[in-house]
Formats: sequence, C-alpha cells, structure tokens
Amino acid sequence: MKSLEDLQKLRDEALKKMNIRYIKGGYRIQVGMGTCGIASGAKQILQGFLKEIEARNITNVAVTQVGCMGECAYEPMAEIIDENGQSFVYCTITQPMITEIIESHLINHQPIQKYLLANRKS
Amino acid sequence: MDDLAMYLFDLTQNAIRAQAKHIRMTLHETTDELRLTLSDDGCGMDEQTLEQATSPYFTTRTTRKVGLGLSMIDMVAKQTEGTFKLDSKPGIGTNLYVTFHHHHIDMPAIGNLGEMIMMIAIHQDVSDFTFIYEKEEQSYQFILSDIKTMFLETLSTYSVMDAMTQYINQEINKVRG
Repeated sequence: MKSLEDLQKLRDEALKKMNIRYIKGGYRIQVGMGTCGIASGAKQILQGFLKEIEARNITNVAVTQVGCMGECAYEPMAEIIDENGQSFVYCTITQPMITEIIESHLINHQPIQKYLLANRKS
Repeated sequence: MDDLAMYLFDLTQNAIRAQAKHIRMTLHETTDELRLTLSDDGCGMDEQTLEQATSPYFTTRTTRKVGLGLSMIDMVAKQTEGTFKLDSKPGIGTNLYVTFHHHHIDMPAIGNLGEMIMMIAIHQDVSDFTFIYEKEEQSYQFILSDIKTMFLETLSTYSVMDAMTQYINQEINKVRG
C-alpha cells in the first residue's frame, strides 16, 4: 500500500537526485504515441527509457511523447535528437534494445545503425 | 489494443493533438454500465469532420490514411451493446459520451488506469487534466495541477511515476470495491 507520506518521501529523494534534467544542448528522446505506437507497446518503451535513464543517473536527456510518426508498421519508434540537432529514428524497439541504445548512443555517442528506420526499411 | 485503459489513452492523444488546454475524463460505474465522458477544449470539429470521425478510413492526419482511435471506441461500445455520442464545435471543443455494459462478454478488461493517467500526466503538452472515477457515493479524483504542485519536475522520473501509478490504482480499486 502506498500512502501520501511514501509519495512525498519519494519526491524529496528524486528532487535531491535531480540536477538539471532538461538542460539545453542535451539529448531529446521522442516516443511515437499515436494509435499505432500505443497498440505496439510504446507506453512500455517510454517507461523503459525513463527507468534506464534514472537507473544510470543520466541528466542531459528529456523524454517526450509525440504523435504518429507516419511509419505505423515500424512501431514502436523513438526519435533521438542529439546536441547538434541531428535526428536518429529507431524503430521496432524492444526492451533489450533500450539498454543498447542508451549505452551506445547516449553514453558513447555511437548511434546503432542496424536499428535505425532508414536502414531497416531498405 | 488489449484493454479499455489503452483505448482511453489513445483518445486523449486526439485531445492533445487538438491543442486542448483542459482535458477531463470521467468514468461513472453503475450496476450494469460504465459511462465514459471525455471533454476537451481543443480545436473541435466541423459537421463534415464529425460525420466521418468514426470511420476508420478517415483521418485529418497527413502522415497516414487511417484513423482508428474513435472508430475503435465506437466498436467497443457497439460490441458491449452500449452507446456512443460525439459532440463537437469548431473553436470550442469536443465532448465524447460512451456507455459500455461492463458485464457483457465482449467488454474488454479495464486495464491499468493508473498507468494511463500517469502517461497523460507526464505528457509535455498537457497542462490541465482531470480524471474522475465514480461509483455509487464514492469517487476518486486526479487533478493534474495539484499533482504537479506536489511533485514538480520529479513527476516524470520513473520511480515517482511508478509509485503514483500504484497509488492511483489503489485509490481507484477502493472506489470500485
């Protein structure tokens, strides 16, 4: 059972850990949340990104929701926009892929080419 | 789509896309029925759009040719022998009224309402969202502005979101009995 006191305690802990999560110049992850995305499990993908980012205490990433990205057959999709404004669209994302994307792209700045929409479509 | 919570989450995406400032969702449970009211103050629809809104082959999007959100909730209402009504005025907003017979064999499971509410709550374009679950004399109200005041920017951290999801489900279950 969760009480309001539990939630307030959790908030205080999260505030302490939180630095400047939404700083300019960081990464932005946009998860497609159209009907196609929702039906394909985009909710779990968004939660997966948030969970992994919090677990690794990554502070320069904003995770947001967007509508249908127009490639319904390739959902769930997430677009990662880097510090330079360059866009990378990852498609048919699964939970294990989230860990890989975070490690390779967000931490080591190496986009995973084989998961990108542009490469999967061709 | 597996459950009602997913359909409801999908419907709120329409309101968000219509640039609604205020979204209000009410679920009222009676002995036989579950009544859904979803109101927004988004851009609304003209008569012609309204007539075609439940067609799966109609959408105002340009990215794809199908629009399934409203047509699927209309389908769920029909399959449970319920009702579906959509009111909308351009520039004023849209009201959706749906009833389901929740004991009907084709009624989908209600699903994770807490998760649905929190996903709407952390959406960057949602400023005001109210969710109410009512049954007999009891009710649970989620008012996003109050929650935002309490949690500030921590609302979108996974641990807070997960704890809030559990808390909301617990409170809704108390009402549902």
